[in-house]
Amino acid sequence: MTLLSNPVSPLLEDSKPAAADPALLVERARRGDRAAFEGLYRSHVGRVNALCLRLTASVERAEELTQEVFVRAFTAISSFDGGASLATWLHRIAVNAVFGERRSRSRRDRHVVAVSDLELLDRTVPKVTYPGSDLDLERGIAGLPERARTVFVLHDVEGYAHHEIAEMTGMAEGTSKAQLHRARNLLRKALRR
Amino acid sequence: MSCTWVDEHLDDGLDGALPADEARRLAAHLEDCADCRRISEELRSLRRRAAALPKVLEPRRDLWPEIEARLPSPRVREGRWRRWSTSNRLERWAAVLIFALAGFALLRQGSSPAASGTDFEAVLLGARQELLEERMVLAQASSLPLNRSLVDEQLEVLEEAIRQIRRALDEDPGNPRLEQALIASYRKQLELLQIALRLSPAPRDLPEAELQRRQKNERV
Repeated sequence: MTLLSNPVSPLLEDSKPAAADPALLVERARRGDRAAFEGLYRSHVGRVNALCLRLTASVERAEELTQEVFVRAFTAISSFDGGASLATWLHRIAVNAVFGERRSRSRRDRHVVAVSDLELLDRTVPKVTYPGSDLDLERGIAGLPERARTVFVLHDVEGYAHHEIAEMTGMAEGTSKAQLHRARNLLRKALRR
Repeated sequence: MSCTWVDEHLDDGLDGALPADEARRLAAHLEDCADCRRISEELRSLRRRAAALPKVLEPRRDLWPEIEARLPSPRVREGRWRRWSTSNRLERWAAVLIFALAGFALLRQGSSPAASGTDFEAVLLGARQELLEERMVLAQASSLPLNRSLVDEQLEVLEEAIRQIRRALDEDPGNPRLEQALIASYRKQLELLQIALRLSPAPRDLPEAELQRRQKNERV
């Protein structure tokens, strides 16, 4: 391919949103095919939104972050090497986006109140409603402190191992285990009530 | 074995992360301790419920229109790619020039005039070929601002000066003043290329893997 050839336009001619082979969609998306990327969006938006929703406990923030995830993914799709699944790769972007948004919010909201974990659970009013049957657990997760919620969702809900969580979040593996222990104990007590 | 130890290791035990001997000790304690057994059963139930939660939760509305509106346009991506590719070639050409200048200085220190002239010729020929290729790229990259064209004009003038100096060196080989003038001209070209590089910064949002992939494509 010469420098001056157009790497983009010839490939747009055969674009259509498609429920095609995921590997083919990824390859086309790498070359800037928006229709192919839309196909990837439609097949993965539910998974990304679910993670964002549980990590943020807010429908509005989850939808904003889900958009952010796919915008970032479009820009970075060429760096996706297929080593992990596309869903895992999108989840990594989602965790980064959530953490970035949390940092921005914490800089804006400097009012800090020291409360015990159980008080946090009691006072938090989850702003989400979920389909499915286990609303008690979903509400309990939404009421967890942020770091404990993050680890619980990634480990017990999504099935990531502690070393993967450490890599995604930047926390030490020991910290991940400690936060999981904290989350499980809080939930166990909350669900008993 | 104490209940405190069990409390600290129960999570790992449930996740299958304990060494075999510790897992056996944990199991033995749970058989004898009703409180710890109850906690263990609650945690097992919690893990089952968490694993059974839906992994897919669709947003309330279709987010694609808003996402698509935020995606960079193909023309913008192409322009960025061209500017990246151009600046990457400029960097490589600048590195070749630096190498050529250093090589010439080294050759002059120890070699015979004839041998140094031949070796230097080969190095300079490579550098000049890179320069010509890069100037063609600059000329055809129409998205570049006007001041890049000005730099290009200056490069052409220098190129002509270098040609004249080299013709003079052919007639008077080894002339130190001509050699110094040639070196000065190449240094000036290097400065101009560095200016050109500053005028076309590489996009900061391209990850390293993408830079490497496009570099690989350039060599194809």
